[in-house]
Amino acid sequence: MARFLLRRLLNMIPLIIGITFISFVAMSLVPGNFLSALKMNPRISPQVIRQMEAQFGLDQPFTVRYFRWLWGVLHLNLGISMQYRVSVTSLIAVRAFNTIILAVASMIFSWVLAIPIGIVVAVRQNSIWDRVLSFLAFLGMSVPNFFLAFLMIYFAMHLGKDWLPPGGTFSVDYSSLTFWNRGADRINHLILPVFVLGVSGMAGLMRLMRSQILEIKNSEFVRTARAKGLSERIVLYKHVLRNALNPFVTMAGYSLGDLLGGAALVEAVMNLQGLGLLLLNAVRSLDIYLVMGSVLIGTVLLLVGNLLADMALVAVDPRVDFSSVAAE
Amino acid sequence: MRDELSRAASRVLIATLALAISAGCNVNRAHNDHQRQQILQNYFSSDPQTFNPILVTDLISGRILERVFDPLIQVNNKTTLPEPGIAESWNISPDERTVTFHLRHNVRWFDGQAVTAHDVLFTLAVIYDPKVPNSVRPGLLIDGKAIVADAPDDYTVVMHLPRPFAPLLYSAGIQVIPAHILEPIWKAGNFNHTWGINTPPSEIIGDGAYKLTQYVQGQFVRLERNDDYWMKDEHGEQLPRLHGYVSLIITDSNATYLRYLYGQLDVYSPRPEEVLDIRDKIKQGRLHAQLKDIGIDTGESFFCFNRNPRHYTKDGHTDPKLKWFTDLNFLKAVAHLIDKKAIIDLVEHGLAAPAVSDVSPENKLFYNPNLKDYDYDPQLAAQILESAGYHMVNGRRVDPQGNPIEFNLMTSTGSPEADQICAIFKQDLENPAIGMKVNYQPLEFTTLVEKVDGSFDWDCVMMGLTGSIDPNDGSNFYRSSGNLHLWDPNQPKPATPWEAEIDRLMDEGAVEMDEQKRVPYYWLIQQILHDQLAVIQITRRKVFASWVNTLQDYQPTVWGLYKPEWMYFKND
Amino acid sequence: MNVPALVNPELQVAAVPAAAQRSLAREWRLASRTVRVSAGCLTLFYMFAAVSPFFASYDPIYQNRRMPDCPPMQLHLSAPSYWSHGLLWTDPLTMSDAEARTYVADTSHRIYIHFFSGGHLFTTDSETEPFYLLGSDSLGRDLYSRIVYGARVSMCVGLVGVLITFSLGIVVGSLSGYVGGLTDNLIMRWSEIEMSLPSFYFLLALAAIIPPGIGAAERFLMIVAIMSFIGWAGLARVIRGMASSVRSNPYVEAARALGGSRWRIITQHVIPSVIGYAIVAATLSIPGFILGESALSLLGLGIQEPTPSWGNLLSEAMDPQNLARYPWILIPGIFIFLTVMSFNFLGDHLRDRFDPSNAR
Repeated sequence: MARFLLRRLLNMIPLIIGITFISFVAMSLVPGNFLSALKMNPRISPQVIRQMEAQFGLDQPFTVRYFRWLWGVLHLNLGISMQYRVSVTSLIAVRAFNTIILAVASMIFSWVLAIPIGIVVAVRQNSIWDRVLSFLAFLGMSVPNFFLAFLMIYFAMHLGKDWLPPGGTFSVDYSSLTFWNRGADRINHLILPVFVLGVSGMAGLMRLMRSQILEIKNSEFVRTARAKGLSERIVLYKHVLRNALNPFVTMAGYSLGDLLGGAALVEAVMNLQGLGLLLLNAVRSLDIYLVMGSVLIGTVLLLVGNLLADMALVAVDPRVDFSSVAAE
Repeated sequence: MRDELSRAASRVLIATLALAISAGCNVNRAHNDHQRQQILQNYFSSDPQTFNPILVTDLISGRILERVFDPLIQVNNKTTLPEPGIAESWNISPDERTVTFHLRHNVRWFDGQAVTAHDVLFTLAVIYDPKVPNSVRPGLLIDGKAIVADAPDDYTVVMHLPRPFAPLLYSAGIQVIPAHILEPIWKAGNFNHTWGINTPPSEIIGDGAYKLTQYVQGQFVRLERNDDYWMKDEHGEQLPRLHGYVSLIITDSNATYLRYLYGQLDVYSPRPEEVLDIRDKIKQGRLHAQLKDIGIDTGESFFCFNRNPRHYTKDGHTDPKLKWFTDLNFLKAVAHLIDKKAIIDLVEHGLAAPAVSDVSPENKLFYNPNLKDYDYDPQLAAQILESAGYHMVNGRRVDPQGNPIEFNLMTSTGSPEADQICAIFKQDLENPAIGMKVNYQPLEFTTLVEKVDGSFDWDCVMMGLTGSIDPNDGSNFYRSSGNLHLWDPNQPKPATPWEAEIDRLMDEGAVEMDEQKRVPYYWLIQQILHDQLAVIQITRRKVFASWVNTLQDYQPTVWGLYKPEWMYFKND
Repeated sequence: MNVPALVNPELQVAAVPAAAQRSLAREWRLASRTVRVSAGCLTLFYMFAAVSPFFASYDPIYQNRRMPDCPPMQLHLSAPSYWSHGLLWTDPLTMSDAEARTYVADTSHRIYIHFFSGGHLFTTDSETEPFYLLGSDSLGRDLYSRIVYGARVSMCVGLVGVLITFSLGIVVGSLSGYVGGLTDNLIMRWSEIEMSLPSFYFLLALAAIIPPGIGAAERFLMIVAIMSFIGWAGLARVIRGMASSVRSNPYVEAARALGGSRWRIITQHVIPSVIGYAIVAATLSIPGFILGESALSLLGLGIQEPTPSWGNLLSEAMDPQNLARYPWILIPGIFIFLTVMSFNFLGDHLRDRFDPSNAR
């Protein structure tokens, strides 16, 4: 296992270089650069723009810029955001923290609800519960999450001022609150976004869990296990659940990475201070070092997530061992 | 097994629900009513990009810093005339080449130091420093040369101009920065990295009505009153009256509107469809607010055709499009095909006016009211096309050489209104009697600009430009050598007689010091642009402002707030 | 080795081709009512897409500039003596307040609805005096016709995306999971590269590069196809995890011991054991594609005006006033909902039919 870990960790280095390089190429395919937008400002002369280009190193050829960036990364310097004129690290740090809290909370929300519900409706297939919950799940899936966010603000506003905050990560008077109230304030601000981000994921997960249980319940080896006279409890936990969880473990590995960047529109509607919107705006305004910084973080999270998932798979699924998930 | 499973699952569910309920905890805090504390809550649509007033290139930073730093002189938003700022008066020498500014003696930086002529000279030096990229410099260059300034004493600044320069009083609205803090930094070459958005707010030393006290990225900006501000009202009371601002940063406009409706914001600039909604809600007593029509948008939006010959000639072969787009008959026909009434009714909900001149009617001094609009008239357009040799062949309009008329229409993404205007334009040009073909392509703003201003790879674009009071600010747009001279930018020398004429008028208009005498130059420029259809104007929105009833003396204008220091909340 | 319950592998997979050979009629009889309704819905929507000009009443991009945001019109049954004019009629609506866009019925005459006239399922004599079954949008375009044409994009986006993603995901994932070793390592590292590439830039880059001459829908399908070629990685990882679990199943080991070739074992044992999951996952991912398009449209990267899609029709509803004043603009959402449900019920049914333990 130690060898497996070491190998995977070493693998990450070329991967990260490859991914960042391809991203850099993709960004360069888009015509123009961050300063293009300034050309439409009648008060900014082309000379100023050329100066700024030189200041940000945009006048250099592509390869030079990439290797300069990479060299900076090795020294833990992710470069400067052109839009905000501060270091990328300082921009990303706060937002990454918020986003990870939000992403983890909504993952917990959707998984902790979806898996038990999936089990219940699978066991009671075609009961009224199955039908009602499936209907709700489909409804949840048919609403774009930014739309749901919008409806939730509507709802929060309707409840009145003091119930649920309609947006933001914390209140305006946050700094004057006591420690415990700060925590409560943060949690209060998390409720709506977690619900919005969790709902659509939950719907899908619940349906998947349901079908996994249905399939495994009827499979040969469960029948075999039962025929061998194993107790129901052991059949359930050892055979049905552990096998049913296999795809979810893999999914958990990479869904954190998905949530990190995938909520830009929800962030815009709910005024959350997260990475998604920052990244989206950075991409749109071609703020290349900010984009690269986010890609780097996303990549590392994804790779680590996948690695953990592969290890968890061995732990959860009795039929998987390291030899099957790791290269010999 | 069935029971076992669902029992386990139900247990997990119940535990989760219990957790969720306990999580919905309430925050104990003293009841926080910002209006009672005389704090105004407004909003920005994005984050500021810098707290350094010289380096500002974006709208939001500008709006924050205009409260924190006072300008040398400023423009009165109601009269659009220059009025005192840090300088309480100025005079112009008879030869119109020397301008003397007399500074107030009672303006202090937040750290107690007096604001003196040295600060003004330092600010000018920074602006003219080629290593400091800033958007103030172009306005202060006369024929490419810097203005020489000196300070006979601590409270007098004298500017020596190489020639009379009328726009100076509009360009001289520079925000002064503290020399005692920034000069060492500038000399060390670090000015460009100073006072970024990560700077602790207490280190931003200004002299304005408000101090920056807190900035949380993506959340809010907080300003607090500067108790030593120099301004007093007519009864000698200290200004400003409001104790502070909290500006929430909300990117999504629909969410912003909801927050206004539910009392989280005190002021709001409604979009056309929201104007009707607000009006209804006020009438029904569901919203306790004011709604006021404050005028016409100061910017312009237009269709522009690419007339840049450099784009069309490739390998000795010239694209026929160049001929169409430089053919006045073709352009006239297009101008007659813009259904401004439909755009106003459908897109702007009736709350807009047809735009004729490239200068807004709000620019009371320079707007030329005598231009006659090209009326929407598809039949006339078809006639113009026919008589100019553009005929219908197999249901398609072709040029005299037989090339079918087809071109690309670009605009920047993300604006539903622009999408709709382009859809209306497209339908009218593709109408069976006209028979053109328009390929609509919205592009990301940076990409669009790169095409329009970099690679010149475009046919027709729909876009907008912001307006300014002094037309000389639009030099880059009017002059044939300008990079914003969209239809054919950066010309070494004027390609057409009318472009040469505009260049001449721009030169002469800038030298004339008497505002009234400057007017005819700019009227003529508007006339030429209108006749030559270099840009085809669309419509201008009516601008509305809405604010809560408790806010008193709030005086919005299309150019900005008038006397913002006077407003306050009246709580019962 | 303990293989008491090992069913003959040959027998197991035999169920699949046999199932495929079953006639449609038999499938129909076997299906429950829900499944039949679902199949009906999807067939109708795909017919919308295939023959949109027939189902649509009007040109979906024709703007009736006098009738923006017109509510759905009421249908009346004609008296038998008027059946020669038309079976159904409606009162023409005229705008009474241009600012608030309110309409009153003009009872002076009737608009008769003609079926199968002018190559349309139903339409009226002229576009200027139209019948809006589901109302009109803010430019005065018939919402019903736009929904019909919108099916072209929305029904295809899901299908194209799912077909590409899932065929690649299943094959590559099974291969990787079953074979393991270096192949697995290489494939999985490649999948990680694809997963962490921010697909958004590619969309931006593509949007800038694709020439504007080609139609909006074709352009978008192209983007979806390219995105799916990038987007199979997540599924491949999940399938690979399941496949590596199947690998140690007794019957697979037995098949290997009997000298089954790698390819044969993958196609006959590994894929069938993951297909149930894959079908459900595929049907669940369809709404993602349809709704993803609406998010992209909001950002200006999806389907653009004037081409309709269900996603961009729905995004018009995300405006507090529009939603309150013109609630019928939510109708495209109902179509999305029906599609999502139908695909899922059908997917469940398919899974049951493919499930070897259900095959009797």
